[in-house]
Amino acid sequence: MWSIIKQILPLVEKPFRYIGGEVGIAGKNWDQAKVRICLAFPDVYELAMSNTGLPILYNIVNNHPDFLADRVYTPWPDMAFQLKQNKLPLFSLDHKRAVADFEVLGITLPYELSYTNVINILDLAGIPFYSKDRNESYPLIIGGGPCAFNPEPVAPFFDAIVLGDGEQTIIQILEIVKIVKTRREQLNQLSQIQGVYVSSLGQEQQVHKSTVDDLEAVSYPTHPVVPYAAAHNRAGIEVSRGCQRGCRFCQAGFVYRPLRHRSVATAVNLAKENLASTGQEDFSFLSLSLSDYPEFCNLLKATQEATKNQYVNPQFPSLRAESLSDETLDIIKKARSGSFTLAPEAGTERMRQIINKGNTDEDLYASVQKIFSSGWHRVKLYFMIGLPGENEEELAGIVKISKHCLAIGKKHNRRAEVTVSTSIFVPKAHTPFQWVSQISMAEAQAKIAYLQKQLKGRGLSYRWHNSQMSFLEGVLARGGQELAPVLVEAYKSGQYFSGWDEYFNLEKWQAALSQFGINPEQYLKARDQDAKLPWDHLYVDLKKKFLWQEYEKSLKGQTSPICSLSNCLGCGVCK
Amino acid sequence: MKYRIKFSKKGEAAFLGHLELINVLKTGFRRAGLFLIYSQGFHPHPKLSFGKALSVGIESECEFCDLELLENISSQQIREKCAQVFPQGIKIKEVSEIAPESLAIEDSIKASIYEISNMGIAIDQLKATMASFDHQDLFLFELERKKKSNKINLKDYVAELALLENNDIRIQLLEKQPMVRIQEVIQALFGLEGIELKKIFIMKREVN
Repeated sequence: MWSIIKQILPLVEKPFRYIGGEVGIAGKNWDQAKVRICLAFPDVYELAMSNTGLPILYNIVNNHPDFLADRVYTPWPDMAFQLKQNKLPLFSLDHKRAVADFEVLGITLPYELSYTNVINILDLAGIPFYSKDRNESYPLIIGGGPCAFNPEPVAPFFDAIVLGDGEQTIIQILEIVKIVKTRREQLNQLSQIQGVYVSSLGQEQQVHKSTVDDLEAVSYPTHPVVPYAAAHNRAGIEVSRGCQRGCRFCQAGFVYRPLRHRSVATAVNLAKENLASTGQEDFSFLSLSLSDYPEFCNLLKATQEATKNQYVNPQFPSLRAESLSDETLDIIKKARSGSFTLAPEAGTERMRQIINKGNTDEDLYASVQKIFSSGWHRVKLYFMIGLPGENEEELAGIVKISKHCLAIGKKHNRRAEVTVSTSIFVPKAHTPFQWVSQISMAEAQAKIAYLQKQLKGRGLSYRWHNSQMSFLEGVLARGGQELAPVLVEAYKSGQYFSGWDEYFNLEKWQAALSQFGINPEQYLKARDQDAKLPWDHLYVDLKKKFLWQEYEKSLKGQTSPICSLSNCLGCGVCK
Repeated sequence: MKYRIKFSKKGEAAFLGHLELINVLKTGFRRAGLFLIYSQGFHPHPKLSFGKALSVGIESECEFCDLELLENISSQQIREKCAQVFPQGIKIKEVSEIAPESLAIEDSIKASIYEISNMGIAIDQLKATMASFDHQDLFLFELERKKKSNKINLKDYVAELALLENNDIRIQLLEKQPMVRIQEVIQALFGLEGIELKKIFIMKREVN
């Protein structure tokens, strides 16, 4: 295979994306494995290699004597063209085997706009798109990842979709594939596994997500594959999973409950081993809310001690600054990072109560004060627009806060900078806001235009997310299986890599939607309490009643406390 | 201490760009447990220096990298520590200790020897082209650079043009200013362009 691949690589941009052979690959024997799975990330190499979910599975599968895991990512359109032109099948990176040669193809679903990249992978691999058109001569196609919590728009493409933590589930699935050979029987048995949704068996079945009770009990990679290049080129150590905050817009905060941690000792050891095996300079502790880690300061001190004199650079994607002690800030300050990112999320205290991110403006200013006085010269502020109940005050609040933060910064440093970015709120499944409406493209554009006008001046810059993409994301996030043929049609019209400005074309998507008589606006509308939701048969252990109560509280501007044993809100996750 | 590393970049690794190669070497030396000297300042970088960047897709037996270490260890120890730390296709061939004031890599290379295959040109035609090049004193070629184009005599650059037993071509290219790339030499000599030029296999065999 290599001798053929080698002929087309000179014709594509960044050919390193397709060569494999990185340090850290498993290098297992193809013929000795009883079941082989190809793990796919539906985006380009540099993004795929920044993902930390698939490496966990890659490691677990390859540590099993009977199983082998390999990797494949969506080829950039120039490579896709060459593969088709030369009638080459999509091939895996480690073994350079055709993807269709694997018994199982496991595709993660990281974001809605990657759905047509999933179809592209199937297309280039020569695999029929729909589960119903495939028998056991094709790989079993398994989905998982963040978008699996409402997978309905893509469900017809998958034989099975895994909800929740995959560490144990993946081995259970491969054990079945090892023994059971007919597709029908495979699907029957897969549907018996906790967390596995087999869409062809209908929506009558109730599927409950799988949860790893103890993170310490599942293995985490110590020798991950080292990227040639990556958007986030760093060693990543997952220290917590789940979140106790309950910010009402945040899907991850609800679907990954309960909150679990790795111990300081385990985390520090993993950091040491990962840094030594990868040679990376940068590393990051991964968590939905890292400053909530129970022994955050100890974790930092222990890591600092374990990595001293090594030119190692910890990175902190976003922290809740109000909870940082001076000692913690002092340690973080030593990290060679130019900017500190804060996420106030909304422009007024009123809105922060609605979304249950109840920090005050004073808290924020005090944090910003601390950050600039500790020596940072740039603060990044992250906000959402289009939150339920939003009006002009929230937008004015974003402007006011940003300018005030800059003023604080200028007292410490003439060159102080504040970078503001906004994304558009998209209601997601299994959150208290799953029933609310999403703002239209026109509204979003008007809000962005206002902020563009206001957020100007020396030291102030503004970035915003593409409103057309958020619109499409909103359609797919709360859609059902009726969108599957739309995805196929959009793909056929050339729409993949739709999360990339240079390839995204809303008109093509609108054409695909109208071909099936679907009005996309309907997906953005509010839902009634008793409306049937496409994900009603998929359970993440949360009680629907709890979500509705949280929604009602949001209407009254009431906050909910951080979840804890003494202050249980009865969400239903803890048993 | 300063060391000069000679390494090969072959097979899959030929398709690493210069930035990816730097990343591979930097992390590789760190994986090997070598204590690299870092620059001072806000964004310290390890002190690594390279010669002229090799074009993506060209294989090489003779790439060079200088590195500075905090420790004083033998060349042999560096080779041993680096034996298992690089991706396939990157292999350290020689390590030598060099004086801090040594000539930069680029300035110490006078000529590079390339072997070229998969040109898709019939053997008779190859021979004819080579013979005609041999007989001329002047072989003008227009170098297209960003700012201006520059006419050079290729005869001043090509020190050797030979047909090997397996019908591959060997070219010894002198390193001088203005710099000429091996693909440009092949383009000028054999008239290959576009995809045809991209599809040939080039191996940088040796430098001197």
